[in-house]
Amino acid sequence: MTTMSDSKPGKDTDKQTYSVEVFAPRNPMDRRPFTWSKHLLVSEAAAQAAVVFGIQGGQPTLAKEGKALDRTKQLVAVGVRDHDVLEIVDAAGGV
Amino acid sequence: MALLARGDVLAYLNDDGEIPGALRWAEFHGLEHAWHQETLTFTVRLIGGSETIEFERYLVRGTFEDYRVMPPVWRFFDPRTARDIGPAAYPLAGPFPSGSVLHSSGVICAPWNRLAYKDRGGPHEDWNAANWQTTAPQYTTAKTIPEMLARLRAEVLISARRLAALPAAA
Repeated sequence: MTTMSDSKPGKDTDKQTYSVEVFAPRNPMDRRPFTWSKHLLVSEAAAQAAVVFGIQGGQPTLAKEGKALDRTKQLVAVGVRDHDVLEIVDAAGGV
Repeated sequence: MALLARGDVLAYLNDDGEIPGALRWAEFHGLEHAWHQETLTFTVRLIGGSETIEFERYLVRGTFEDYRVMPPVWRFFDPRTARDIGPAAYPLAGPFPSGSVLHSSGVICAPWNRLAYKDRGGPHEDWNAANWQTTAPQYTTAKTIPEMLARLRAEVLISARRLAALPAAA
């Protein structure tokens, strides 16, 4: 049975900031909290996180469930949600 | 001829952010993996998409002779036999946002893979392996083994299929 409190229509969409945890590949248990506007670009969020983890150079992005997020889009647009756990992944081109 | 003594290579590899970090990374993601110090190889199994079956299995192995003077050798192998079977072992490049490292010829084309360099059969005669961390700053940058693995997993997860069908099992 769905109650009013369960459904909470618009709860996530109304929220303007997301509190997430980010980790670097070298230690997934070392997670750092970040609170970002949901409209922040992925590239800007990833750059902030990369500095915290001492990752230099390249084009860091965030990965959700292992899949790299498009750096040119806003967090909300690539499916980031409140309480997500995100991994820093390099996103610069290859080949 | 090796550029670094084995003890020096192991000292780099045993740094907390390298092989210990790679082990933590693989365990966190629930990926089958193995580290063989005797052969300086780290192997991990990855899962990618498929157009014909539920998913494709991949086996990728890094070898670390002369690390960190030289980049690792990263290569995909037959996931059934662990043999080198060329392009059929590799995933097709998926829609990675800034361009994939998975070359259509069956090589991981990144400055952090020794096999991407011309002198090892790769396409890049414009890159210098001795400066692998800075030789191509406009391309993918991964300075530690866990960072390389995270990039490879992100690529394999969005691959739609293998480059070619696996050969018939012997």
